[in-house]
Amino acid sequence: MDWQELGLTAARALLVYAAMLLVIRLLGKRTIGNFTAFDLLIALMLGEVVDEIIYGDVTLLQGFTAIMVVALAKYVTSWLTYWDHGLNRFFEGKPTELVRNGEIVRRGLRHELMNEKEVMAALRLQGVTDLREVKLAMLEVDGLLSVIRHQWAEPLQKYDLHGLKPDDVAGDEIRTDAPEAIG
Amino acid sequence: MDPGRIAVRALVAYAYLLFQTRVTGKRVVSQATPIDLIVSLIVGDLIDDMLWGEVSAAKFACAVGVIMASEVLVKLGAHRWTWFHKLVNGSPVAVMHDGAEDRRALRGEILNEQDLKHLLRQHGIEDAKRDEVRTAYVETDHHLSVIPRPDAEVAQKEDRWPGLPGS
Repeated sequence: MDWQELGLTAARALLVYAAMLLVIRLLGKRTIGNFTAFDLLIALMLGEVVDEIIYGDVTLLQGFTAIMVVALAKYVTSWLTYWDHGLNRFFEGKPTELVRNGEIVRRGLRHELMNEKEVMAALRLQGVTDLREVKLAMLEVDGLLSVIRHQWAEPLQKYDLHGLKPDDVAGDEIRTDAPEAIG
Repeated sequence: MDPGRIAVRALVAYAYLLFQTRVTGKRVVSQATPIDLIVSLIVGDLIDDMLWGEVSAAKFACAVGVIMASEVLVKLGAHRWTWFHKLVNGSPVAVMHDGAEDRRALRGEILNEQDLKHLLRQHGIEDAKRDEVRTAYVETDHHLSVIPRPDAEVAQKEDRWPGLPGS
């Protein structure tokens, strides 16, 4: 067993770990995670280049150049999508409407290659079993379904129990001059 | 390398990773934070060279051990010292106050208006209901958490039936 080589491997692994920690902190919270398919791809890329670095198949300089270039490219893209100019659509796609006013949107389903059963399953995960409750359901860029319910299907909130309709509630205060208000 | 040896190596790698994850705890190889995700990707990446016999099992064990140990030490440090936790994970950022967005805070997270809309939609909040948000935070695991105005909180049984046992 080559102890010197093992020691070097350990040192390189430590450096790689530190570099990854640094990259993730610099790129910010949204950048690496399951935010969008592209973000996940970046994480996979960063994870995939390191074995050659740790095992010493490439030099540290080569390895860290690759990591930094990928990180920098991701950072620049994040700002480009922040300023938008239509780049958001290009890098992240745009959300697709799947249900509107209690009815399935066929075009949206076709666009996402989903069928009705899959939509109902995604809705069940959000606690919705009746399509009529849904005002708007969108497949977001991170692949999760977001659901806006019709007002009548929303859970009760405290102000509802004070005899106020949602429209009577404005700003920070409960309007006490509303007809049904009981205080 | 002949298939028999590859099979043995695969089994050894499997057993070693199982041992490592059990020793280091479930928080390490989960996708709770970005670094957890990266660590599991790195470990997965280190296996294949060992399977094809390009590196020795000792070298593989050493590399995985160091990565996992670093992760555990960082977690321990973050648990122990608040400043270290902040250094490694960053802090939650309030991006909405009293129904209004904080553009500077959003900018600091490289999030634009569309991104905020998206994050709020995932809480079932459309634009018309924004004034029901008291504070919204982008947490360190890059999720949005929403604290509603007191009167807009979800109603509880107690609101309807005051004096229930335990209230």
